[in-house]
Amino acid sequence: MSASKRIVKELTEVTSNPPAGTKVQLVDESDVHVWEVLLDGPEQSVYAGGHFKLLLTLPKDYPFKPPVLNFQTKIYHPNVSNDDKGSMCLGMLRSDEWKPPNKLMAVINMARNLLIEPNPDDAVETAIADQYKSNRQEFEKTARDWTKKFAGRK
Amino acid sequence: MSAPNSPTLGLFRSDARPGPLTIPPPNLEGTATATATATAATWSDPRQFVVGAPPNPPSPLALRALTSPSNRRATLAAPTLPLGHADSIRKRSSLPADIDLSTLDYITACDENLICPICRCPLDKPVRLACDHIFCDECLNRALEAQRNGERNCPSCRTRVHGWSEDAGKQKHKTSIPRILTQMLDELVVRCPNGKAGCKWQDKRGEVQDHVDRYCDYTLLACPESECGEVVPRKHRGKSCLHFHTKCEDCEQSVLRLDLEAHQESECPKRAKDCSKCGANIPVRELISHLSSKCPETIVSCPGSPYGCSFQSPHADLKPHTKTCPIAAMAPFLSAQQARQDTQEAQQKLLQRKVDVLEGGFSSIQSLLYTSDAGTRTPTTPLEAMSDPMLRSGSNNGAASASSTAPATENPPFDSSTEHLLFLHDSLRNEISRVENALAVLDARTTMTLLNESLRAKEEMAHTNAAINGMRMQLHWLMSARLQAQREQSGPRAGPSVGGGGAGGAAGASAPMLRPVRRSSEESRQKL
Repeated sequence: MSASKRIVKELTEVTSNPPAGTKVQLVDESDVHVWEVLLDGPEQSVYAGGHFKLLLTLPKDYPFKPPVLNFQTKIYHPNVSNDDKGSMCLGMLRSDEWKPPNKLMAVINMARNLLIEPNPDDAVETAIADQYKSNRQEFEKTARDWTKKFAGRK
Repeated sequence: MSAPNSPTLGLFRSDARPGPLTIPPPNLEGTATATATATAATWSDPRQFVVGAPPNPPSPLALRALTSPSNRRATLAAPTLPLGHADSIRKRSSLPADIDLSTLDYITACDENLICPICRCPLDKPVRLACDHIFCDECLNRALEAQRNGERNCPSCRTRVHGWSEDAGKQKHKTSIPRILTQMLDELVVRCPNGKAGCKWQDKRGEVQDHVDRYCDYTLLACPESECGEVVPRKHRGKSCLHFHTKCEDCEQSVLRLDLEAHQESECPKRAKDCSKCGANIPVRELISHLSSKCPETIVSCPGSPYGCSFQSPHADLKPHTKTCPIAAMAPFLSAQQARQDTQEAQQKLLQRKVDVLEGGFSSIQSLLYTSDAGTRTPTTPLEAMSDPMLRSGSNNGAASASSTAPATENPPFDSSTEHLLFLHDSLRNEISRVENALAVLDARTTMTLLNESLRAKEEMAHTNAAINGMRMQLHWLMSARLQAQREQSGPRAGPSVGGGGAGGAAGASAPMLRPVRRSSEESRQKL
């Protein structure tokens, strides 16, 4: 009861005052546990011009367990797994790092900041992280290509 | 509480009754014993025992004399019901033992510092840890329970929490809460949790438990008739049991006595009431709609109000205004436009979604083609390998086809597999024409060698023919010379014999025939 009340509170907070370049809505109006986040690639990043669709799934015992963030749009990023799940799992989203007082607004902001500045030291895709560190030009080129190819249109 | 319209529903009243609070089934032993033990401790307080008749609520003054509202909450949780009946009532009536403060409707805007970081509601029974972070008691317990491998850390800063235990009685992690905090929390203004049932009460949060337990007219309590087992709002509790059917004096409908007032107030079809504003006698059922729109005294706004007219007047004065107001005249048109725009927007949304789906399908088809392109690249190699031996055999036969055996240029990436197949087809055709050329060259070559060889053989044959002729002539000459010598020997003696003469005649006849043969052979030799 109080958990879903918190979720509703956070949802109204995020929808009434969304972080720049994001839009949040429920996938199914009757289920507050699955959010759809539409994220525009930040202007200063290599993902500029892309529109990314993310799925934010809140576990049953939220806020005691961390939410799960999945990129539904394919993205070339060291911290997003390059499969059909597109899961992003680092920092505060890890179950041992998650703190109940964390807000979902902060989670969305973190995802956005990771697009601006990837974290190759905590990567899921080690190949992309190595390329990011050693051959930044090639990484940026591929990331731009993928953004154009997969996240170009809404 | 609304009463059902049809009398038949009354038979199933205990199940079908709509209401904000649920009534647990009577055979729920677990909850019964749980609440019984929970309340057992407080029952030892003799002040709470009122045997026999329903208790009169203590005077408000006496209550105020007790300590702080929060402290009071604990003692107030004790039942205000007759002993022995209380536990059975507790399970039937849904008198909340302790109101869940997080579900309350807060009227004052709460300071961010008074909000629990876990449930994001104003703190309920705040607990302060050694690191100075404050949470609701229940939130903190749940957060610590959820932590793994026995470590208990502060949910905010991860400082180790000492002395926590799952058993609430053994917990030693709490430090004292500043009085000002509890006072600020108790002073937040909330609505009564029975608001849905009709209670208009709103006051400080510290008073809400007190209000619900002792004063709220809408709190459900056990029916004063101990055998009845039903629940009844407090306002009807002073009377005897109201759980029997009776007839409405106006409409003759059978109505539960408990719901009779509500029925007469708003549902009875026969009952009429004077409108408080215009004084007209209106059936109670229509009173609400009358007040909101029809009553001439009700203040209504111009029909053009959504489009900019700010005129407001009693219903009766509206007509002259609508005749002059240009916005009101436009209102039907504008609303029709609005409706059309709305439907079109909805349609556009639908189409947008359709386009999205189609675009998604298209892009997936495209990506499918891309991947299949990469897949068919490998199978093409056997095809090329198959055409290779043919080319090689052609190159063995002639230098002319050597240039055509140059390996096929590296295929550029294709946009689609159809294009790729077309390209493959073209290259195969080229191969075939190359093979054709090679075959033609080969054919010419073989015919030439054949011709050369046969010419040489012919020449040789002519040579041998000539040689044979020469030998024949020599043979003739020798033969004729010998025949002549024989004839000269036998002629003078006995005349030529028949056989010899015949042979000689044949030889003599053949001698002149030899000449042209020699001549012809000489001619052919000269020709060559």
